[in-house]
Amino acid sequence: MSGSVILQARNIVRSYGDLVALDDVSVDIPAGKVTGLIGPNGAGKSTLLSVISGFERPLSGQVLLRGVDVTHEPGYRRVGLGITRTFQDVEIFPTLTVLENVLLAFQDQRGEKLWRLFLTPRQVRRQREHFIGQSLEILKTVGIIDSRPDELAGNLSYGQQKLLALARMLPTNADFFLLDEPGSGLPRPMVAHMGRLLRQIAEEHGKGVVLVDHNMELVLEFAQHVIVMHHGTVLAQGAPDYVRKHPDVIRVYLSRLDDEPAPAPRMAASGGSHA
Amino acid sequence: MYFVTTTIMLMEIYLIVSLALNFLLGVAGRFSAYEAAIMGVGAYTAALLAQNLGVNLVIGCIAGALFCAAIGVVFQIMTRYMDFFTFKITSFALQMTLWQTFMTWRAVTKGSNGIYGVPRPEILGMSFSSTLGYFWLTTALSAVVIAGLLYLERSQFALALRGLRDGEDALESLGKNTFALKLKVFALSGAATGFAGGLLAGLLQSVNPASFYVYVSIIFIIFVVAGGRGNLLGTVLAVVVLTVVQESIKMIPGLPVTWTGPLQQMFYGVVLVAVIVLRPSGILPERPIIRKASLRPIASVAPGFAFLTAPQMKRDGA
Repeated sequence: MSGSVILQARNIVRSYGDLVALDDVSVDIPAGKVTGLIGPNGAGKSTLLSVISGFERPLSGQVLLRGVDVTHEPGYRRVGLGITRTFQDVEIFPTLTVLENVLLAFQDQRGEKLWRLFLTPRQVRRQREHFIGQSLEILKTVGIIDSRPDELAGNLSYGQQKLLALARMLPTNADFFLLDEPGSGLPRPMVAHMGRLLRQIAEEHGKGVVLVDHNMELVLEFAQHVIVMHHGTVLAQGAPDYVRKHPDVIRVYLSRLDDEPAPAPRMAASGGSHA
Repeated sequence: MYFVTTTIMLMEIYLIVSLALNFLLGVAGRFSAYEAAIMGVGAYTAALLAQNLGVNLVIGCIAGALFCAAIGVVFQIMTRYMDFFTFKITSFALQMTLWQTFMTWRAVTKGSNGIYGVPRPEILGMSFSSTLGYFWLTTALSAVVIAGLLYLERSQFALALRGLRDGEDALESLGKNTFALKLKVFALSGAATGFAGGLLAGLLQSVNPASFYVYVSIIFIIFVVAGGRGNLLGTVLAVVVLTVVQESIKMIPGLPVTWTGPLQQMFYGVVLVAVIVLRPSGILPERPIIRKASLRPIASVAPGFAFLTAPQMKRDGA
C-alpha cells in the first residue's frame, strides 16, 4: 500500500425518485494507484463519482478524505482539498484556447482577484507567466502536440478534447483525479497512451487516479485496483486478477439474462486482443 | 461646440454602460436586459444626493455605483438557480419594475416630470458647471473607468468569466467558486453602470425616466452584439460609429422633427438584423486572452511532470 492518503466513501445512499442509484456503497480509493471503477450502464459509477467529487449530495453516508469528512464541502472546495474530476461529456471550454483551458485550472490565481489586479499588477503578471510556462509543459507532457496551444479548444478532435480534459485537471495538483470515461470513443492507441499517462501520474507521483468505464478490458489493463459495481451496489473490489475471477463479476458481465444492456460487444469492439 | 461636447459626453457615458454590459453579456455569458434601469438608479441616486443633501456629484456617482453594485449582487442571488432564458426574462422584468418605480414614486423621483436642476460638482475650488468644464471632468472620469474595464478584459478574471460562460460545472471542477465569480461580475457591471448614470445626471442637469426606458437597454445590447460579444474594443467601435450616425440623422436637412426618433430606431433595428445575419460574432469577434505572441514555441518546452512536484502556490490564499 503506497502512501497513507486515502479517499473513502462510507455507506453512500443516493436515489432519484424511486430509482436507487447508490445503495449503501462503501469504497476505498488508495493513493499511488490507478483504481478502475467498472460496471454496466446504470450501475451507479458516475453517480458515485459525482458524490465523491461533490457534484451530487448523498441522502446518507460520508465521503472521507484522509479521514476528514468532506461530505458537506461543495465541489469547488474539494478541489483545493485534493479531489478533482472530469465529465463524461468532456466539458472543455470550447471558446477558450487549448492553453487557456489548462491555465484556468491553476489554483489561487492572483489575476482572478480584482484588488490584486489593480494593486499588485507585477505579482499578478509574474505568477501568470509562471503558470503559462507550466501549462505548456503539461500540454507537451500529455501530448496534445499536433494542435497549437493558441487553437480554440472547440476545434480539437474528440480524442484530443478528452486528452485536454485530462491535461486540464493536472494543474489543480489535487491528490485524487477522478476521470469519467476518459477512453470511451477513442481509438485504441490513444486509450493506451492515456492509460500509460494515468499510471505514471499515479505510480511516480503518488496520486490517486480513478478511472470510470464500462470497458472492462481497458480498466483491467491499466488499473491496479478494481471496483465492480452493479445496480447501485459494489459487487467486488480488489486486485484485477481477483476481480476477474470473481463469480459475481463473471455472472454480471457474461450473463445474457441480465436486464442491463450487455457490455460484451463494446469490449470486443475496442478491446481486440483478448479472447 | 455645445452639440459636439454633449454628444461626446453622451458617447462616453453610453460606452461605460456598454462595456459593463459586455462583461456580463459577452464575457460571462449572462444575458441581462436591465442596463438602462440600473443606469437610472445611479442617476437618481447621484442627483438626489446632490440636490437634497448637497453632496458633490462625483461622490454621488460613487454612491450610485455602490448602490447599483448591491442591486446586481442581490439580483444574482435571487436568480441563482435560473436557467438562461428565465434569467433573461427576469432581467427584463427588473428593467420594467425599476422604470415603473421611476414613473410612479413621485415623492422621490417626481414621476414623469423628472428632477430638474441637478448641480454640477465643484472640486478643490474648481467649478465644473460650464458645459466645457463638465466635459473635461466627464472625459477624465470615463477614461479611468474605461481603461479599468479594458485592463480587466485581458486578465485571468476575464478568463475565469469566459470559463463560466463555457461550462459552469467544468469550472467548478477546477476549484473555482462559480457563484462568487458571478456575484463579482454583477457587482462590477452594476457599479460601472451606476457610475455612468450619475455622470448622465450631471450632463443633463436633470433626471427623467425617459432616459431609462427599455428601448435604451436594447440599444446597449445592440452596441455589444454589433461590436462583438466578448471584445471590448468592438464595443468601443460600435458605440462611436453608431452614436455618430444616430446624431447625424438629426441633422438631415429638411427632415421633420417627428421623423427623427422613428428613423433612429429603424437604424438600430437594421444594424441589429444586419449584424446577426452577416456577422453573428460582431464587427470585432472575441480574441484569446493569452495570445500566441506571448508564448514560447512548444518545441522548446521540456515534457515531464515537474508541475506535479513543484512547490505549490499556497492553497489557502496569498
